[in-house]
Amino acid sequence: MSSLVVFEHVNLGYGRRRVLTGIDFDVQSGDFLGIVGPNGAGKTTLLKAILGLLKPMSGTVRRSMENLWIGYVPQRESIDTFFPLTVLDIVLMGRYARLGPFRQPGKADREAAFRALEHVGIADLAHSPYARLSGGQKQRSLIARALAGEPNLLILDEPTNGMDLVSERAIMELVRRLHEEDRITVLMVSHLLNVVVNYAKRLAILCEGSLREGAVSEMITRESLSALYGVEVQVAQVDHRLVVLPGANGAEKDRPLPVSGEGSL
Amino acid sequence: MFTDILEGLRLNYLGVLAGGLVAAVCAYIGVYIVLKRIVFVGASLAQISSAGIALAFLLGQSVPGIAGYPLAVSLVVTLIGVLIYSQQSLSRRIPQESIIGIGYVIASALTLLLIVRSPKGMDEVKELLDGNIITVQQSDLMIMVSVFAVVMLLHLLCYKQFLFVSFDPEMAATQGYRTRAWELLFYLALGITIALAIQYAGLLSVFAYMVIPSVTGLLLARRMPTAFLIAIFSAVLSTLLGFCWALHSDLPTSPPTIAIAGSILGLVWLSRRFVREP
Repeated sequence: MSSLVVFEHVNLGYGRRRVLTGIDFDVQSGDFLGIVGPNGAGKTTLLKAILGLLKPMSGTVRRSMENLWIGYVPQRESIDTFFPLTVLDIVLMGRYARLGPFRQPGKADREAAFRALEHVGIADLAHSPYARLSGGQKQRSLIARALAGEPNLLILDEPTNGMDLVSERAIMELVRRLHEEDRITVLMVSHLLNVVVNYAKRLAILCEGSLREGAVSEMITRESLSALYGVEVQVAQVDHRLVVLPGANGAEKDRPLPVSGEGSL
Repeated sequence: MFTDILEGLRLNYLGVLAGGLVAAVCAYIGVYIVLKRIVFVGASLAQISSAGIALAFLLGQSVPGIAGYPLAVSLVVTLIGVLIYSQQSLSRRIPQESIIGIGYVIASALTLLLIVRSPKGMDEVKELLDGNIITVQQSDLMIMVSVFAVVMLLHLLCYKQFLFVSFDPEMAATQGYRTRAWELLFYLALGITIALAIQYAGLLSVFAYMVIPSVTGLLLARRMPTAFLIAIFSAVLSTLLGFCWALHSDLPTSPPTIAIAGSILGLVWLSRRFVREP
């Protein structure tokens, strides 16, 4: 497997304030990498560096492929619903980078946009105003926008934030399908540990300014998570799914573990 | 009565054309201003532009050549304002709206201070606010057509970039768009439009054209092109009816035009409240 993005001894921060120190990891082609961590751990900072929006204070962030196309799915709350745009208008934006500076989207771009919409199951909503969609439909629209650019790396920022359990499951199954059937490399950032551990192959956990990464099975153990979060943590399997729970004394601490859907576990 | 109004419009056809042109261009750009939530940047730049015109009048007393070029002085002052507002390093320490507010009040006070020293005094303040678009000459109209054509061409050619950078700047940046450069280009086009429009249409009209018809368009439209068309139509219709009212009642053109634009917006808002969409 080749590396798409490589971090070498990277320090990240804003101005003089350092947020993450000594980051070494890579995103490999064909990978499904979950980046998790409590609120304020530096997930957004790391994401900005991966996207090329934040220059490292020191170290190197290398994009290994010349034709690396990133499909970015931002948090849907960051999208302004005041703009009078249809779903198709928004999905077409995913094609803009492939157009010349003064070319407007043409027939081929529309076809690509419709293919992406069909792929995420909302082709019938193409001409609906984006503002009127449900949370799950909005998320699918943003995933379709990322897919319309035909990316080889799909980056999702908190894709299931604020969703009910059914919508959360549907979106994550869609992401799994894109990864397994379409062989798209996926990098997903989330504070919901229980969601990520059941879909990602590898896990990168951010805590107290540093990053630890490895296979999900290595990372999700009672010992490693308890040490990492500083509270007692239990790991269980329910119906073939991993569930991470704060232990009895862990719940008394100030810092609850955010692990799954709708602001709860 | 109608014959008199039509005759008035015929006699002042250059002013009517100029008014329609200013209304259309300001309403188009106004859609972005409302969507980007920078209405007060528009107001502040308009005030800065007025200060530039006042500065030209004052400088003209000692350097007579300058008095003939208020547009050039206003443009320079407005572009300085654009550059200051586009400095992101400032807004990291001071909230952006505070910078806009400071720019607005300083420009307002400066306009008054500069005008008090001018021989015409408060008459100039009134002219700055109301404009005198009805009296434009053919040469003025040609300048407006040329400059606005460039601004609109830029907007049409760069529609994709301006829309993307306004709607989702983070995604645009990940796709390789130089968002700060596109923002600066947008603000430069805005500054040029405001500086030119203020010179003829006055502060009140320009600010109103940039907000009221644009909100009307955004209330009714489900797509961006429709929002632009409705905003332009509403602005031009308000101008025509406002000019008729002004000619009939011997009023300055700005207040009736703004009153009509506001009435159209009010009707649209009421219709949206009481008529359910299918």
